[in-house]
Amino acid sequence: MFWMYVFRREVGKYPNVTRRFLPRPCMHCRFPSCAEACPTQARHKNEADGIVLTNYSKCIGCRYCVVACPYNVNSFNWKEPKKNQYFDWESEGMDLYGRGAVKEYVGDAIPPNLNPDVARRDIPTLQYRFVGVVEKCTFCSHRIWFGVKRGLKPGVDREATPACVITCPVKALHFGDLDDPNSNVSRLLAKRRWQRALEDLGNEPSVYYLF
Amino acid sequence: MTPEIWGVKLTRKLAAWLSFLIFLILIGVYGFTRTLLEGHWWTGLQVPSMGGAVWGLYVTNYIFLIGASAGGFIIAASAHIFNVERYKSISTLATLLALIIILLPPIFIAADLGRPDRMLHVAYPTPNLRSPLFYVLLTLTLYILLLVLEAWFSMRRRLVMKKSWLTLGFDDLSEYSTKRDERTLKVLSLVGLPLAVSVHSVTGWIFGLMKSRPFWLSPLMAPIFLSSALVSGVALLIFVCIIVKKFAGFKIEQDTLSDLARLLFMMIPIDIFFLMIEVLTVAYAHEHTDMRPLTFLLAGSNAPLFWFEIIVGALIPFVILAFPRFRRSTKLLATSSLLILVGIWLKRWNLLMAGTLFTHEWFGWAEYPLGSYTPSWVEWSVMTGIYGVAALLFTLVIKFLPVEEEMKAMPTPAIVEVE
Repeated sequence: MFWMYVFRREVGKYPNVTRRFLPRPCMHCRFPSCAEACPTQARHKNEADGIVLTNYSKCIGCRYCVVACPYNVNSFNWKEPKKNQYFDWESEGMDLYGRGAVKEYVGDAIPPNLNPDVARRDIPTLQYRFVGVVEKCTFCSHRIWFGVKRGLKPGVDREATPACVITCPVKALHFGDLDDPNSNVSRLLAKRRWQRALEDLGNEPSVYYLF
Repeated sequence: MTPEIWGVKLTRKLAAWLSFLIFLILIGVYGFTRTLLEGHWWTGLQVPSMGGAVWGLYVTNYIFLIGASAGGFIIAASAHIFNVERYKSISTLATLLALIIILLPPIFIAADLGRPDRMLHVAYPTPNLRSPLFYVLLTLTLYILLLVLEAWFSMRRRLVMKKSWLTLGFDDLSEYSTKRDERTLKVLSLVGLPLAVSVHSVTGWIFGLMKSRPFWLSPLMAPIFLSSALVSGVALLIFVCIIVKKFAGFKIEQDTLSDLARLLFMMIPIDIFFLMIEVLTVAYAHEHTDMRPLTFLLAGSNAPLFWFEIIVGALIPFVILAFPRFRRSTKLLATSSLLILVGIWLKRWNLLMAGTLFTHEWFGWAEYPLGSYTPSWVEWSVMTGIYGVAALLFTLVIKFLPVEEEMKAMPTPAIVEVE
């Protein structure tokens, strides 16, 4: 299962060889093919932040979104998701709102990785993971949701930014508000050369590759 | 002593056949239960980013069976609309065949869904009117309802004579009510023909509208599905006619079968023609993204299946059916219709594989590993079970319902009432 897949490719001739990497999160398209194809509206575009999310309690597991997505970002739960393959905050005494014994570890911060095994009834799209439904990268919508609620700015404050972006050791990933012309990502896009994947399909993905 | 159930003698032969079918169904139930309890882990399916096909044997059978039900209905409908006496003699059989076959695709879909308990969420409470699957559900439901009505109206007269409760109290045998039945059948068929066309087109559009799969994105998808549906449908009808003639003692004239065979003979080239256009367009343009699936089909690992589909599944039956002498031979007719059925099944399979396995490349180099797909034992067992259901339903229908048309010299209704 890859919510974030990394393409690898060797280029050059021995001895001058190098490897190229291309990370592939969900593109969170402006016109998502998956949401169009989904027969039950389980896959939808969140109006507030434009993130494309799955409602696991509506998904019927037909895998039409897997077929419809040109970027193939979807993965399917072929069997019951294994419990505790993530750090289990619940067993550390965290309640549904991130309070409890876990405070000793993270203080006031939002836990870096929300255990998907723990249902969040207050976030409609973060519920229990089921067998037989489709999932994909959510841009860590729980971190953005909590962060915005606390008045933080996604992309600037670490706690309101997707986990992949803040953990990347070489700072290859950037995150921010594309609608805001003064945000970090808008400035980067104005300054640097960029390309979007499969631009001619007209999905208008929100992920830009800088060169 | 042979026990009797509702006027049908349970001979040793019939009992053996029924228990064999129930055994097949139990195999399917076992596989289905395993998927329900443990997820689709046991199938050979995989998401494309891991290299694999996300739709496999279940969807192949789904599109094949939707197509295969076409023949029965189209023959019955044209018999009612154009008053073709020859086809009228098998119209009830054809309608019931279409009805039984169209009940199977939903079972395949239930086996394919990760959450079959939520299957009807497609219609309620949050349908997505932009999804082809919504229209699949809509047209398929209407089609099934129409087939039930058509089957009932074409059997009502004989149900009354059999004093069956299935008449639902409409026991009138007067000439007026018989005429009314015929008129209703005509209207139903007139409504049903466009409905059948839309069922097959929508099935094609499940695939033909996907810009994510270069091989599928083609306006030809709906016509190809329609022509394949007609070919496989008529082939199935011929095959079933021969079976019921041999094993159930139905009186079906050889001329009727030869007529159907001639129709089949005329439709095979249309189907091959559509496929040829598709292949020619892609091959002549030789765009990189489109050529990969085509090479996979024509010369790659799928080539044996593709050429089997073309040569054994279409050309050989076409040559056999070209000769009126061979069309009259029951054996050759059965063989060629069976070959056509296998060919069309493989056509669905090839089409599905060339689409699901191949996706777009990014920036000219980033692509997922090319996977392959082999159905697992769970999928084969579920498939066995569902075809077992089909055979069981068909046997029961043949045994318990008055499927066989009345012969020309039937007693008039007045005499029957005296009896």
